[in-house]
Amino acid sequence: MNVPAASGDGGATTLVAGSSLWADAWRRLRRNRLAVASAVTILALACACLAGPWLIAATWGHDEQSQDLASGPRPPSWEHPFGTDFYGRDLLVRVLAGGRVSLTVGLLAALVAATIGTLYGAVASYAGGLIDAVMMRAVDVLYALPYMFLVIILVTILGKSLLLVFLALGAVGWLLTARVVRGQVLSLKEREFILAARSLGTPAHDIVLRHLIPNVIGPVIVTFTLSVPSMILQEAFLSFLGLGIQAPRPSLGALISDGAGQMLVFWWTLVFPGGLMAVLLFALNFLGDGLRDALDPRLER
Amino acid sequence: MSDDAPPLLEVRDLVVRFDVVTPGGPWGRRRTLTAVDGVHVSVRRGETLGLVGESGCGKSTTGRAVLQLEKPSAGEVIFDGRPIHEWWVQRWGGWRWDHRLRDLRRRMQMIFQDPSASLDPRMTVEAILAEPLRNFALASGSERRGRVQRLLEIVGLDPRFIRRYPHQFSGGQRQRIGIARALALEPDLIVADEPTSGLDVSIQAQIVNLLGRLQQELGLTMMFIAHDLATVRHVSDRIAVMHLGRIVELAAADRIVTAPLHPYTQALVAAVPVPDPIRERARPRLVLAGEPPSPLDPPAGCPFHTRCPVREERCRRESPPLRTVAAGHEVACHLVD
Repeated sequence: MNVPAASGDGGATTLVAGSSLWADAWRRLRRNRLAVASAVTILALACACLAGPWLIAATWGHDEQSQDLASGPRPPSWEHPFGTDFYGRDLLVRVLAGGRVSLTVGLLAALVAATIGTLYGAVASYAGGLIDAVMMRAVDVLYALPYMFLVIILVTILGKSLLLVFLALGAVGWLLTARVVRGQVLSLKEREFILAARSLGTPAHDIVLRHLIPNVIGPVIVTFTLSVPSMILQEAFLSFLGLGIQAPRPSLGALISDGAGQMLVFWWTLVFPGGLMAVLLFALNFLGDGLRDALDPRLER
Repeated sequence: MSDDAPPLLEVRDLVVRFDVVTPGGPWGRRRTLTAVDGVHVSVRRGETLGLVGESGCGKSTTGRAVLQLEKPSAGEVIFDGRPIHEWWVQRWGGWRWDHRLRDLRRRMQMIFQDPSASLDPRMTVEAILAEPLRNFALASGSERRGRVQRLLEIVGLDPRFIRRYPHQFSGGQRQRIGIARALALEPDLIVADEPTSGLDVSIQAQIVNLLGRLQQELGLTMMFIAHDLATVRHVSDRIAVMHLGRIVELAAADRIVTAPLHPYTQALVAAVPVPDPIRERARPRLVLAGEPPSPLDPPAGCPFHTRCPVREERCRRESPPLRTVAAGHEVACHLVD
């Protein structure tokens, strides 16, 4: 046997960098133009929603709540590019501030859902047997309840606040992730490297955290990206019903709700918030599709 | 071949059964597959025992049941004087490991057949090799990298590669990582489950030589599982030949190869090609006719009688027990005196 001698210069050797599966996925994602364009769009819109209201307040001196009853509602103009609403509030600021609320709620709720769902699904599936059966039947029961009904009850009992809206959405939204993760882990735990980990004496919680979850993170990221738009829609629906974000604070759902009531007269009050919502949803869905393709190496030729 | 010291590993009448449900939902039949059917063998300290047999004969299952990665259905596995097959506990609707089995992992390790399946694709080599060290708190953070690099050197890999991922290595290099991982805990017993069968022939020799060298240098006790005699004979002191879940012949490696007694072993020996074209052509052929019988539906009598070239009437009725025919030579065949 020719055993290469120990690296000559001891500890000072340079380590050969590896290309991880993440790097490969990143490379594949970059080749997908639609996904990259979507990612750029989302980033740009997020920056606009974050910085926009503040910039406008600094430049023109009006924020999303400052009313000017004499100057509303007006169609788009140089002073108010998106027009003004019934109370003379600048619609551009309100749409951007509403987008900020929607994005925050969507991302946080999806994050809560993904975290709970991943841990729950992985634990249930790896434990197997009775634990799995009990845990997944609980998911089935929750799944059978009308989803929105549950959120409405939660919001009514716990009161109306931004924090509660996304907690309620996330607490109900994890069911799908849990099922996806459980299915993945079910096939994963039969793979030989899990048996190898057991034979190395790796404790169960380390197998779940260090082997199973890193290997299901691909599908989880995809579910996450695709659930952000659905969370935004749910929030919009709650706000539309008057249970979400409370006036005078804007959210995309509340703005669309207001605009829908007067779209035949003041069309701009519906078109601009609706347009931002549509662009966000499209971009998030395309990015989700792109990520799914990039993270699934089997699709690569 | 007599040795007064107690063997490191004793396997007594080991049986492993699986429930197999044939497709068809509620109408599917539930059948029992007996993968290992009364294996009786012991491995002495420092010895390498070869386990050969064709695919599906239960040799891998035997290896896994010995390491308690599969729960034995019956029989005993005595490791270093302790009955480790009793260390399972039934909890939450399934059989789970006792903590003593977990602690025992330090002393018995496995080398898997397919390194691309047995190495976590999301882990770097460093993480893979540090895992066993972390499990038993064998080296602290700063020490760990040194230990990992040392392991890579032992198996002949460049220690600078610790940041790489398994898919960036060739098959042979990956198997070296698998071997390094098995060595990380400095175990007393290593079960090597067909460590070469997924590799190119030229690489197979390298891996076999590596294992042979490590076995000598580190004083390992090994159970070497393979489906061809040619690989096993080089590393083994003794060889056990398995057929349909049972051991049919057990003897010193050179006796199995030069003087096989069981007709199945004779067929296996005849299947090893001789690297000399003239002798190879002149060599008598012994080709088994037919498929190996299914372990779901084993034949009555001697499990080998359906394919045996020298079967007699009583082979259809009685199953021959494994008995000693010479010093250190055991055979299960009616026709051997």
